[in-house]
Amino acid sequence: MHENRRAFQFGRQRIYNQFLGMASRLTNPGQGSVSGPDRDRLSLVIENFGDPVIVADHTARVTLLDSVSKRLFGSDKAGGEDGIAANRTKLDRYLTAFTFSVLECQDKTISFYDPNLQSEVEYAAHSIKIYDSRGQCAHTVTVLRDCSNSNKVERLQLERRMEMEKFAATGKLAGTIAHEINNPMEAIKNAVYLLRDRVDPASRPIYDALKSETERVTRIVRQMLGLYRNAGTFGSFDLNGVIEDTLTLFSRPLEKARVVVDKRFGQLPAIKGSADQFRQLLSNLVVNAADSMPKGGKLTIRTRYTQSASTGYGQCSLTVADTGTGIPPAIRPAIFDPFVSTKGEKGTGLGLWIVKGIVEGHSGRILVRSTVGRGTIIKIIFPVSPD
Amino acid sequence: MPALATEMEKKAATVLCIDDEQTALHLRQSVLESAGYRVLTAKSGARGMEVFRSQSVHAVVLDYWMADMNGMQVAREIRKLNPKVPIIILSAYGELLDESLGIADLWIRKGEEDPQYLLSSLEELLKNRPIASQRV
Repeated sequence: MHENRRAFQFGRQRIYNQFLGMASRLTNPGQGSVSGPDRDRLSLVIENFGDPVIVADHTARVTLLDSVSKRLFGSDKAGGEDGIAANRTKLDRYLTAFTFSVLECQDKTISFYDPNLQSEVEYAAHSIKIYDSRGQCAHTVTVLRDCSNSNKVERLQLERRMEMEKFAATGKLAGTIAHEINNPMEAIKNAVYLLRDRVDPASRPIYDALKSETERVTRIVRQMLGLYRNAGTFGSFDLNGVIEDTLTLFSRPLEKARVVVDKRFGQLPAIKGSADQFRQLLSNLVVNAADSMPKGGKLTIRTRYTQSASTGYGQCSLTVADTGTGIPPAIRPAIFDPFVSTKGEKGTGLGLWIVKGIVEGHSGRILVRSTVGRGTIIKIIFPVSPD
Repeated sequence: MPALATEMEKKAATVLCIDDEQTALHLRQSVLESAGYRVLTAKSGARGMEVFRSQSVHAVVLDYWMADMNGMQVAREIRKLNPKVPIIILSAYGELLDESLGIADLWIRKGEEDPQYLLSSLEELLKNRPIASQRV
């Protein structure tokens, strides 16, 4: 405990040195095997170290993973996600190479898939060998340091700012393009309308294609404008009420698609923001959920409010869960990018992009959990200020 | 003044269409005519005002963006002459709320709505409004 607390005061680099120091003290052949309080202390340090720590035995078999590395490599019973399985294979290969090498310690760069970030992260791996009383390698300890970790907060803030700027610019551009398209669209739609009774039967399929493709353009433009249009109308609104409104709007199609709606509304304060935008956000999420359940299923919508007793600040969460087809892992990293869709020709690929923009406009964040064949859960969390 | 309620009367209603884009104007005219309206067209705001002053018009459908004067300016001029005539403004930019109060009866987002929406809205507006003869 003492080790741990002091280490905290001296920053990450200091902890790192202390940890390695303690490990090498323990490896001193004269001291015998690691036991008793030393062992407890070591476990405690490993648990609270913050960087992934992996202990393996002399056959390169992993014997201890701290909580951070469990996230990367899974618990003892390996399995789960593909990315984790791949990490595990990579780690085994690395440990085998080091354990059976003549080196006492080694530094190497190695990348692992981070399931939270859903991307590969580069780590500096530092490994040492721990020797037993006979001077033979009994264990190896490997510490992974996230190379990009040191400036993580600043990096995340910068990324977020850039994202928002990009979003604002793209939104404006989308608005301009949409307006330019809408002028000729009116003429095209009028022309299509006028032709409706003058098409000979042989040409009917061509006419139908013209009509449905025209409608598709309208859908895309409407969504593009949706995010541009209501940008300024911020006020105070009842989120549960907005959800009810939206569900009423979709009650018929949902019923037809044999989707059962399960509403679990919590007590919410008035939300500051744009009710129109939330209506749009909900429509997009409900449509996505319904589209992912072609054979019917269950749509759960949950709201919740939690408040900090000390600051008065609270946060509101809105969860939309379906029992649908799920999002294929391949497109998961891109689901919030414009024009990415799982729905082929049916989708515009703008739905979640718009959702993301709206959530960011309300200083919120989005969490996504999806399992192919099981369904998708989208949770939106945004702050609610007091008064 | 009698309300325009029946189908017969609707057929007789005259709609003034103002737009400086020839193709758009022509197609809109055809759509309105296909629904039985008598349609007068004008290719500029100023020309539209001339037609409105000289002929009997039951409703006005006009574009917002025109080279000589915008749809709101035309609508204001028309309102000075006739406070009751239904005015529909078509705009790719959606509704300009602060300007539209009490002037246009309806803004239609160009290109987003099907032609049926224009027709049904027009019918609704003519049904609920007494018509006035516009000749001044």
